[in-house]
This record gives sequence, structure tokens and C-alpha cells, in this order.
Amino acid sequence: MSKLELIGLTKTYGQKIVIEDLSLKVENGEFFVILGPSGEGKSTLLKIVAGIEKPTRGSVIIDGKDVTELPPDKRNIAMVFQSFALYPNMTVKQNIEFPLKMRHLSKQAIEAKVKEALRLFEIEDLASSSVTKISGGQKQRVALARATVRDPSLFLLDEPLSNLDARTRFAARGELKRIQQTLEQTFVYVTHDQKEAASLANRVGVLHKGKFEQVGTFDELAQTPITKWVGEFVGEFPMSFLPGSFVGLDNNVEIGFNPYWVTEGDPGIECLVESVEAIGNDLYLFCSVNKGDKVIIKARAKAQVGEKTSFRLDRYLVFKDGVLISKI
Amino acid sequence: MMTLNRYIIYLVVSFALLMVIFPIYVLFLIAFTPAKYTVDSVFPLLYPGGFTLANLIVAVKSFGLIGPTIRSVETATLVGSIAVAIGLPAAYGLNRLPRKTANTVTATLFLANMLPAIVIAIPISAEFISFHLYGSVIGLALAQELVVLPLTIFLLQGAFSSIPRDIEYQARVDGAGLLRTIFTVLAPLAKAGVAAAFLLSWMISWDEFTFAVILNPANPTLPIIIYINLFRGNILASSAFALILTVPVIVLTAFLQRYLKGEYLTGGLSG
Repeated sequence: MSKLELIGLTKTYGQKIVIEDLSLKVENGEFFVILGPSGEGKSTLLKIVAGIEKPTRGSVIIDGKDVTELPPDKRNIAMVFQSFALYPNMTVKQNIEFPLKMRHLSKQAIEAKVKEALRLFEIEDLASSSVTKISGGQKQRVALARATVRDPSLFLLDEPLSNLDARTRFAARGELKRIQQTLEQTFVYVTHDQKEAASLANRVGVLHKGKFEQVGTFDELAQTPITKWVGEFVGEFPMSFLPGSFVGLDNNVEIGFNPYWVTEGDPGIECLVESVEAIGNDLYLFCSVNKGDKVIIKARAKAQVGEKTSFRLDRYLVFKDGVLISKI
Repeated sequence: MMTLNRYIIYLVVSFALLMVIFPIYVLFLIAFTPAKYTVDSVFPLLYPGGFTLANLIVAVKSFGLIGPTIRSVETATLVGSIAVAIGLPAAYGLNRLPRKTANTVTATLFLANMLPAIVIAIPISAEFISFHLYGSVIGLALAQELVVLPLTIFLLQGAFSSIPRDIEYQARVDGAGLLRTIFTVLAPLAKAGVAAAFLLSWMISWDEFTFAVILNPANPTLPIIIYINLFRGNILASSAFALILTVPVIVLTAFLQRYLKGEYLTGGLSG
């Protein structure tokens, strides 16, 4: 039995279709990331799972039980919002207690669980501080502590790291993965950040036009995108595309390749270096082929803007009408 | 020129202040000065000729001050409580509607306020007699709600609209039902608005006259007992009662000042 199952979900606002006939299964203990550019309905999808928004059609099944008609408080889920949504009139401790109090646990049980949560997130010192007076990273811990203090069936996280500064975000990312593994719980996580998806997810679903364009591990998505759109969106760099004629194919197909699938050097496809970007020890060249097509290739040696260079393709994917047809 | 302008402004402000303060001054004067200097005098003094508590004591002893005061406090407190209890969920609901619809509904709510109170009071009293609400504190409170509730809802809508939606969603996910979310999570966050709504309702009810005189003539509230005594020529008793009517209003207004900021009065029309 899957932990979460979405069947034929559709959500429309008037004429606008946000989610269209979307189906998904998330297994127990999985860290599932919903990845997509902003405005693709990621948050809407998560809100439908939480019960905050009602789907126009389709069903949401948690632990084998159809919860489509249930309000959020009857679904036994935990959620962390991008804004953390801490109750500003309560202390850290009161915030963490809140979901337990709503479930009428005994005083001793609440005390014990809150203490455990405070310890797990290393925020014991803050217990009686007001949540308006703590830092962003601390707020995130409190929000996570509040989400994990009870045993929900499912954790939903809506870009929980995007309000943190770069340094804190890096640390928080690692911590999030550790927490998920410690708790052995199922996480559904929404983000537009490639790095978060790459480092956190067991599986990633790329949301585009209200549907999952592709679902798989991050590597699968980056290495074998099944559509041109996924190739352009997923990965550190977008995939480069050239007409099929460059490798002796028909011109009604396109070839796509990642920057590190090429070897620079003669003879090969000639291109003009337009800009150079260094990432770590690697150098990437942004070039134009035949003036029109832009490609990104990993450079062997230093190159200057305006220089000509050429490269050979070690591997590439063939797309027809934007869809992957073969792998070479 | 600048200084002249300034003097004119000072003059106008002083005059306006005098207009507001002078009647209150006269009220205090009559209440605490022996009658021979004020109401029994042909040329009443405009300054205190003496000091006495006798007027108040007489009023309390022989004109039944306690009953109307308690009734007024009861009615006003009931009005304030009902207004908040109904106003909170109503304001929440209106906030969740599309803004255009919500504004139409709010405007419609004020319909009862636009009609003269006396026009509404007559059919209400006819209905209340059949409901056994006529002549009761609860009945009067419910009638006053007609005037108070639209204002309360308008105020609370403004207070709610400044709370981020995520907080509400979070409370629902954390296991709070809808009413619990409204009363235990959102209301404390809108507490300034809630306090303002309660106090304003309380004060409107406190000096409400038309409904009180038509719906509850046998058990008068303070404004009615003042009116009755004035009619009978008991000016001293009236002024003592008027004092009791005024003091809470002055105290509450001072208290309300900190809540009467623009943001709470823009109501649902903000944003």
C-alpha cells in the first residue's frame, strides 16, 4: 500500500487549469520532491494533499483511505510552510505544544513529547522565547519541531528553506535529510531549487502545465530527460540542443546533450565562445553554433570570449517533437 | 502671516474643545454643587459655589439608580459579547469570499443602520411580544445587535485581513477545527480589533435610546431613567444619572484610543 496516492487530480480556477489529471504514488519512507518553476501549481498541489484546497476532480488517498472530502484537521498530516507560519502570540514551546493540545493528549504526554522535540532540534534554550524574536534558522527548527512532535502519516513541506540565507540553508538541508532518515517518515517536499531536489530526494517529480512531465531520481531526470522541456529545466545547466543534421541525422529531429558529454577539440562542431563561467575547478563555455543555436560545453582549457573552438559529442539524446526517441 | 494663521487655528481648536467640554463641565457642576447655586438659583453660577455629595446620595436612595445601572451594564455587556461571538465567524467568512462579494454583503448589513431605529423598533417589538422577548434584557440586546453587528463585522474583517493565511492553514493542519481556529488562533492575533469591536458595541448599547424606550419601558436602562427624570423635572437626579452614564464612556474612550488606529477602522475595505 502506498503512503500517498493521487488519482486523476484536476484543479481549475474558473477557466484556468492549474492541475490537470495528475496521478502519483509515494511509497512509505520516501522523500519525494515536487520540482518545478514558480507558477506551475506546486503549492496548489501540496495544499490539495493537505486539504486546504479542494480538487475540482480526482481523489487523494493517504494510507489507503480516501481523504478527498476530509478537512485538514482530520487528515493526520503535518505541514511546514515557506513562511514557517509560527503562531506569533505564542512562545516556542507553546507553538510546539499546539498540535498535541489539539489532539487532547495528557499533560504528561505533551510535556514528554515537547521535551524530546526541543532536544532533537537543539532549541531547548529557546523554549520560552517569543517566536517573533528568534532568527530565521531557529524559526525553521521550531516549525519542523512542531511538525514532527506528533506522528503524522505524512509530512508536507512547501519550500521550507527558501526563506533562509545561503549559509543557513546549506546546513538546514543536511539537517532535513537527517531528520527524515531518523524519523523514517514520508516527506513530500515542494521546491524550485535544483540543488535541494538533487541532495534530498529519493524521487523527483517535475511539474509542468499541471502534470508531472517526468518522475524519477534526480540523476535520471538530468541524464535522460524524456522531454526537451525537462532537459532544459533539470540539472545544473540546461541541456543544449542542436538540429539533427550536426550528427548526420534528419533535420526533423533534435539532439540534446549535457555540457560534460562533449570533448573539446578538432575536428568537430565549430562554435564561437560568447561567455565563460567557472564553477569550482571546471570551466564552462557558453557558445553559439552557426550564430543561432546556443550550446554550453565543458572546456578543457582556458578560453577567451570571441575565440573559436570546436567539440565532439561523446553521447547525446535524440528528440522528436520535444519528446525523447533514442539515446546514443 | 504665519503667526496670524496659527492664532486663528488655535482659536478654532479652543472653541471646538470648549463646545465639547463645556456641557460635561456643566454636568459635573450640577452633580457636585449644592442645588441652591445651580438649579434652584435664578442666576446659576458657572463656577463651583460649593461641594456636596448629597445630590448623588439622594439620587441613589430615592430614584432607584441601582436597577437601571445594573440593567444597562448587563445589556451592554451582552451586546458586546454577542457582537464578538457572531462577528468573529462572520468576519472570517466574509474575508474568505471574493472581495467584491464581501463588500456587497457588508454594505447590505448596514441596511438596518440606514433606516431610522424607530421604524425597525415597532415591527421588532410586535415580534418580540410573541417570542416572550419583550421587556427583557436579552430582547433589548438582540435588537441593539441590529445596529452594532454590522459595525463589529466591518471592524473585525479589517483585523482579520492583516493575518497571513498560512497561520490559519497551519492551525487547520495542526488539528484545530474551523471554529477553534477562528476563536483560539485567529481571534488572539486580532485581539486589538476584537477589543475595539467589543468596547465600541458596549458603548453604543450603553447610550442607546430608541430600542430601549420602545422594547423595555417597564425596566428602564440608564438613558431611559434620565429621560424619565428630566421629564418629571428631577434635574438633580438626572444629572447624577448622567454622570454615571458618562464616566464609563470617558474611561473606555481613553482606553479605546490605542485601538482606534486607522488600520482597524478601514475594515474589510483595506488591501
